[in-house]
Amino acid sequence: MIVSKQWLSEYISLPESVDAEKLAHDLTMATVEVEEVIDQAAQYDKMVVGKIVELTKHPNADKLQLAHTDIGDEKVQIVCGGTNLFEGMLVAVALPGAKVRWHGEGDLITLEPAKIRGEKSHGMICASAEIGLGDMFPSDDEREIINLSALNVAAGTPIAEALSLDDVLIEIDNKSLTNRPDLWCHHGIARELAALYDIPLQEPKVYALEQQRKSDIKISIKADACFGFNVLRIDTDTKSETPDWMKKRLQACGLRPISFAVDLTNYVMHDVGEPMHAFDVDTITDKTFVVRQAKDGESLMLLGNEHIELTGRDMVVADGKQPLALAGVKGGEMSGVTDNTTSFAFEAATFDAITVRRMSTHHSVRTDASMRHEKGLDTDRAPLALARLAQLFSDIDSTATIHGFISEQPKATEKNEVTVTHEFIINRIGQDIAPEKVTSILNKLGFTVQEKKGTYNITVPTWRSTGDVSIPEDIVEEVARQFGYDNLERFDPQVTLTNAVLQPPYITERSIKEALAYSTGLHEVFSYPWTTDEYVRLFGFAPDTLVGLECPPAENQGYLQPSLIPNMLPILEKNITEKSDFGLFQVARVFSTADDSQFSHDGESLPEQKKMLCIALTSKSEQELIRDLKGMIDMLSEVTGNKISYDYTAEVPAYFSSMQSAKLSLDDDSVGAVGFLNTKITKSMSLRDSYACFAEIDLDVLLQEKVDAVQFSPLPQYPGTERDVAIEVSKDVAWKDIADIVEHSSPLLKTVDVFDVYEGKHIASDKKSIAFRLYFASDERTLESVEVDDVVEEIVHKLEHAIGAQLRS
Amino acid sequence: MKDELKKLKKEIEDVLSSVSNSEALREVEVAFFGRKGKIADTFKKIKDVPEDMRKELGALANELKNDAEKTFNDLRLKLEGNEGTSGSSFDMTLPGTSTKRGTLHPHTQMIYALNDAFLSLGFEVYEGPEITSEQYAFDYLNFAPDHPARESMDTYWLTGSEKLEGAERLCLRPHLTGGSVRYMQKGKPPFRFVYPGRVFRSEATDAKHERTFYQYEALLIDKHVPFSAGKLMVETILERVFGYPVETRMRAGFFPFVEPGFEIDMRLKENITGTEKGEKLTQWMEIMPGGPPHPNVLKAAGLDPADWQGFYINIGLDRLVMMKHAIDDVRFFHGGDIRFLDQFTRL
Repeated sequence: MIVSKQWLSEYISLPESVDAEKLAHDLTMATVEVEEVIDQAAQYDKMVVGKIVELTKHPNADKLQLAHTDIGDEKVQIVCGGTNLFEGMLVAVALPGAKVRWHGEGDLITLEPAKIRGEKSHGMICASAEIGLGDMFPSDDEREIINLSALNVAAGTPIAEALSLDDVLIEIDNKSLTNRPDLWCHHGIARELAALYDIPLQEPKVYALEQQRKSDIKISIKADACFGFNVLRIDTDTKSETPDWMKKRLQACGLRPISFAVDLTNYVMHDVGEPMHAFDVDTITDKTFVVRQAKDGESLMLLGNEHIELTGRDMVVADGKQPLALAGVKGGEMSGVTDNTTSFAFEAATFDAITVRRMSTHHSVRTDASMRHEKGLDTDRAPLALARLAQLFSDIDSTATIHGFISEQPKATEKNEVTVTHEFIINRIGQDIAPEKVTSILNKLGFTVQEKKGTYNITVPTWRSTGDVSIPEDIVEEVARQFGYDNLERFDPQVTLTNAVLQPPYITERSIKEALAYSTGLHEVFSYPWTTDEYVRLFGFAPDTLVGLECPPAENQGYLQPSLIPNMLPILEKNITEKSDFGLFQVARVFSTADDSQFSHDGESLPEQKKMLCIALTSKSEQELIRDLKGMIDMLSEVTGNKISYDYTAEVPAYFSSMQSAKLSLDDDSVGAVGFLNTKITKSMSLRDSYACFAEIDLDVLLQEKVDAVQFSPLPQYPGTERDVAIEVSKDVAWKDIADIVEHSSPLLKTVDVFDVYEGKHIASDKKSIAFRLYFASDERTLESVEVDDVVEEIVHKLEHAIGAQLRS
Repeated sequence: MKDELKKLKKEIEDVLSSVSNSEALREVEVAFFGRKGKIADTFKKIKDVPEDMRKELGALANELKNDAEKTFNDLRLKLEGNEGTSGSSFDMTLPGTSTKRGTLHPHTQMIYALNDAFLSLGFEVYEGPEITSEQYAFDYLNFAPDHPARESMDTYWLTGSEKLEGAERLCLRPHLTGGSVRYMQKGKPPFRFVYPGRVFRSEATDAKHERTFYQYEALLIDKHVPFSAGKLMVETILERVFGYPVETRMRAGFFPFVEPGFEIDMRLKENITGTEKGEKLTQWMEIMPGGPPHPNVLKAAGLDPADWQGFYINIGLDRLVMMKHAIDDVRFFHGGDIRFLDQFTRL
């Protein structure tokens, strides 16, 4: 919303010390957010009226002319591409130093003396959009120059002076006005400023209208969502023009002048905040206004020739025959005023905010009127607006017959009453404020206050009673913001110290993430929570177990991810073009229609949303890859204190390869899976010549397990001894088969570590070599070399028998 | 003979200047200074020259010998005991081999840093569900039915609950604030907790807008918390993020779940980067909403607004991280590009 400082001056005289910048700051701090302050005089700096004395052809360009222009104290040459130039024309000249918008678009550019196709140009002759005058001089052709010939001014007159553009405009962010219906007009903003600066507020000048009991115009309210309906009839044979001062103010606020009657309604709306509509009385069947629900099948041609189909949920203003207007949103084409209207009916009504908003949204018709109605207007405002309009009408057209107004107010706004103690107010604000100050602030804002023994009985004015102010906290806000948030002293909170909260899951999750990032070299990634239909098919997720979105981010992204793996694939594919050997991890939630046992509360039954860890590794060696990944999982066992074990035969999710995967378990609970994906998925990935393997771990399970503190084991008293063994076995022998034999061979054997696996030309093609290191120790004595050798020999012997291993020398 | 001496002097100088380890030095010692070395040889030759020249040459040879020995000894002092273990191919200037270092996402690092700050103030870290209900996302937060903000949040609603409402109407959380009510419902006041997490809004993405973004919420509930007390929480966050005092101000704002509502602005006292981008951080900018929870929110959380007061803030983490690290496109955060992630070796 744009507020004109000149318009405000009808209601308040701002102190000298309040310049535009201070005004913007103070309004922003206490009331609403000021987005921009436009000082018109500054905006039109270095722009003057010029008179084209002579036009000559540009020697080097067909579409350009040389305009020899009188700019007051001198004549200058300006290159111009305008299509409507003529000698003697008065034009707007932007001189070097002026700020213009090329072709009406983009940022403001500061002009400099230039040569255009070899010819000097001292500034430019402007089209309306180039200097922000598009509203005053509408033009569809960007090459059409503003023609100021109608003005009676001398060449060299500053543009701001010639067009009386000497206002300061304050642009307010509409979002910050959402809860303040009273501020959608100049009088409302003036009231706020009067309180802020403690200066007098003028009330709007109004015509002494009488309410008519008898009239040939009738009102019939049949819709609950209509709180009040008021009509003022004015008859005149005079065709009035909107006065220039009014046009200027409307234009300043971004409104385009249309006709006298319509301009008046717009002016009053921006003046006192009540949207109004002008009807031609002669077009109203039975001279009756009926506010009712529309009937299914009815339709309405809105102003601007916009046709809409109505339903029973719409509320319309109708006459005895048909709908005339979509209530609170927009009038219809048929009943609008025309140049020939001699009998005007001005309507000012109050509607339920939610109903208006719903209709405006449903029909995608958003107007200045609907924006105001949907904030919740009070019913007292409508008669005020009619009286204001009558005053303006009669000021301009003294021959007009102003009839009284007729009114139905079935649901007049009631004033809220709030009781609050002084103690409550200062307790919340955290600072003492004198009771007189509290009362004075509230009075200035239109509240009636009775103070008795530290208790305020407050009557809220109607314009703040439609939702904004109803409880003691609202009063605290009024006082505090008018007192000035800047003026509040800092107050550090006084709290009750409570026991420190133990947070094992948070701490363990953090340890896991830090270990993965800082010890194993993985990069943590984020991805979206939804997956694509393609992945749903490829991974074989059953759609009825998936959680769906009503309005997905894209047509094929309607499901929330039941696994973190799918969203890792595109990330792998993207990075593989730069690197072949890397690892990623992500901690995020996955979703399924299974019942949630964690979060649902208070009547909810939310879907399951487990927190998972996903690790993805890529490399050119399959075997190395899976060993690296298992090493990371083993590290997680160490970090969390929960031993994650591998089961190579148990079932894993079908998107894993059943041959190259393992189920992960914690005691008897499944915590996930690790391995390569199935052939179908693997083939679909573009990983160049690299492989990728994945682990999925359920953190809800892993983090919830209670873990005992590390228990120290005494250090061995006797030195241990190592032996390396290398055996050759058939390729299809798994390490697990070897380990099962080796690990149970002797109580003296403490650890077994594989350090080399080899296949290749130094070995038969159906064989592989595995080398491992055995560590022997005893708690009772230093081992003899011979006894260790015996154990090793026995192990080798067993391996030869059980799996046909051969010792390599 | 004089020329021979000069030549030898030059030879010794050249050899010694090229010696870089004690092994080479020993070779030089044998070759020049030993009993059968070149210097000894020269003295032998002097014996054979005519007597009248012998004295002069002897003096010259002695001078040569003394100078050479001094240079040699200086060099020996420098080299011996300081050569480490490597042989002559050792190159100190070869670059370091990179360690196996990955990265935490910059958001995670920021969250941990903020958590640490708040944990030290006695706050708890909370985490709620990402799928929630209309009840927690809106009803309990004092959004009137049909309140325009319900739509302006552009919430991702879930299928299967279209015709339901309240506890049964489900969505991806459009903000964290409803989760705070969950937290309070399950505990006993006073409360001090922070709540980091991701939220979801259905909107078009560009360099400044994402559908999935991160918020950091902090809530303090106690017996006496006037709203000027909120500054402590605001400053705890901003000073942790930027590393030194940040100027803040609270001004009027409107949010249904706080009363009074504040827009909280910040500006840096100096341009931290010395760039044009840094200059922008020294202007007032809107950084987060805040305020005391509305009485209706406290009631929904099971608290009596007559007994309990509080202060709430909720800050967008994406913007904070972008400001701190001069990142110009929010889409990097979900892009998973290692070239981006690998830069954040620290906060």
